[in-house]
Amino acid sequence: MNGDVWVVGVGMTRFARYPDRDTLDLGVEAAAGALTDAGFTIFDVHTLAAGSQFLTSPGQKLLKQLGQPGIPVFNVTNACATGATAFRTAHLTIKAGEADIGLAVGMEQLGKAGLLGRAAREAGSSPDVFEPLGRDGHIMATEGVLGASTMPAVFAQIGIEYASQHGGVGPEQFAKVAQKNHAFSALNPLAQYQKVFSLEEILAAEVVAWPNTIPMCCPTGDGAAAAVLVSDTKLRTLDPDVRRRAVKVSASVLTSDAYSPGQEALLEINSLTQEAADQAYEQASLGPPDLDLVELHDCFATAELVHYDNLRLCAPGEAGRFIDTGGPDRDGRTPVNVSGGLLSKGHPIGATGLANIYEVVTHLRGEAGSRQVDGATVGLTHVLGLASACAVHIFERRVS
Amino acid sequence: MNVPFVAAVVDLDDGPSIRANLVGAMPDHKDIPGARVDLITFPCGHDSQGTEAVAFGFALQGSPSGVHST
Repeated sequence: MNGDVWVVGVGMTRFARYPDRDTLDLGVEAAAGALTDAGFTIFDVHTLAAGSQFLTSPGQKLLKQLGQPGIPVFNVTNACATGATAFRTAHLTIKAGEADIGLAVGMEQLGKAGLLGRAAREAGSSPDVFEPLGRDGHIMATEGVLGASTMPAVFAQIGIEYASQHGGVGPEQFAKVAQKNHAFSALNPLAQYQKVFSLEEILAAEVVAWPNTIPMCCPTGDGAAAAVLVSDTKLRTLDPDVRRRAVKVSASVLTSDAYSPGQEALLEINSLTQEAADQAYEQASLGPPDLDLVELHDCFATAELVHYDNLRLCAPGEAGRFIDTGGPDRDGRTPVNVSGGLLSKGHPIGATGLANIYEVVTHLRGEAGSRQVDGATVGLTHVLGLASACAVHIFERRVS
Repeated sequence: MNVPFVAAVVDLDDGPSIRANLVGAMPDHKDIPGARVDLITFPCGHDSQGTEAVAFGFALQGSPSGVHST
């Protein structure tokens, strides 16, 4: 299939904590929303790609709730890039000519999980009798003894590494990222939190891993998001109203971390993001100045700042100046994370990549309400999972 | 583990980088990035039979290095 692939439906739950619902309930809500948005039922769909980091076989389980058309199901797990990987899988299937209609769904239920991975790392941290374990013969858990590899620690170190290499970056620049995204989230009814913080409140909050304080770290939570994709051929047969709201997938890229020295000590997030962005711009024949909005992976405030540079939204080394001069603000050069971002909209891992796509598609359709980026025609989504997967997509409004 | 602790990535003069704690460093962060450090060892626990575990870490040069319990 040589033609374009189009998004004709999106759906998403509010990101929140749902102790009275299961992961599948959230997935059903998002998938049914996307199908209804496209004017389809599950029996129209040719292929399903379903993503969840913690639920096994999410696709088949979802179909037992939605209807069981017997279609091929691809279950994907790719850390924080899981949702975007599901989207890319559906996209590939249509590109390969094996389907004309694809559904991509991402869902997750984390609850109030706290610091991800902590429990596993602390288990066995004080054994009664030391015995060498594993390939490295460790006798106890090394987290907090030989440095730290929890997510807050890793992204703190990534931010400080950037600040050490480039001027004009310090705690205040990182805090401004969080201030911006929390303020944006106040306009997003689907965001987990909608609370505005002052810069002073953010800087004075409890430190999780310096320089990131609590409001500079994304919360855990529950949610799901979904998208319906169709081929060019199928689009031509759909109702004029569906065609009018269709959004073109101009680039779909997935990368992993190529070897670089030092990544055993600090997980790599930069080079694979740069590579994915460069490939995406080339695929779309577009460049950073063409972007009207970006939804990028701000799992921590430090992450968003370094990704300004990685996604070429600013000149190399100029991420500090970019935030200081309002570059990622709503009226700035490239609005970033107007949804509130992971920092405030939330980050139910498997859903996040598709939620970013939901946001960009909604803006390109001109349907984002009070948080609409006026006249948006081109948008980019980015997610980064450790260790390490990066997905970048570029979308364009349909020109009729 | 006791908090706060200072976790760092140390770039060795010969090229490789290594993840470790800056033992004894206070979280007075401003001067840490780019600072030179010395390799040290320190006891990090013991089991019920009295066997002591020893870990490596780094200490800021010029600081009173040596043994710090965690």
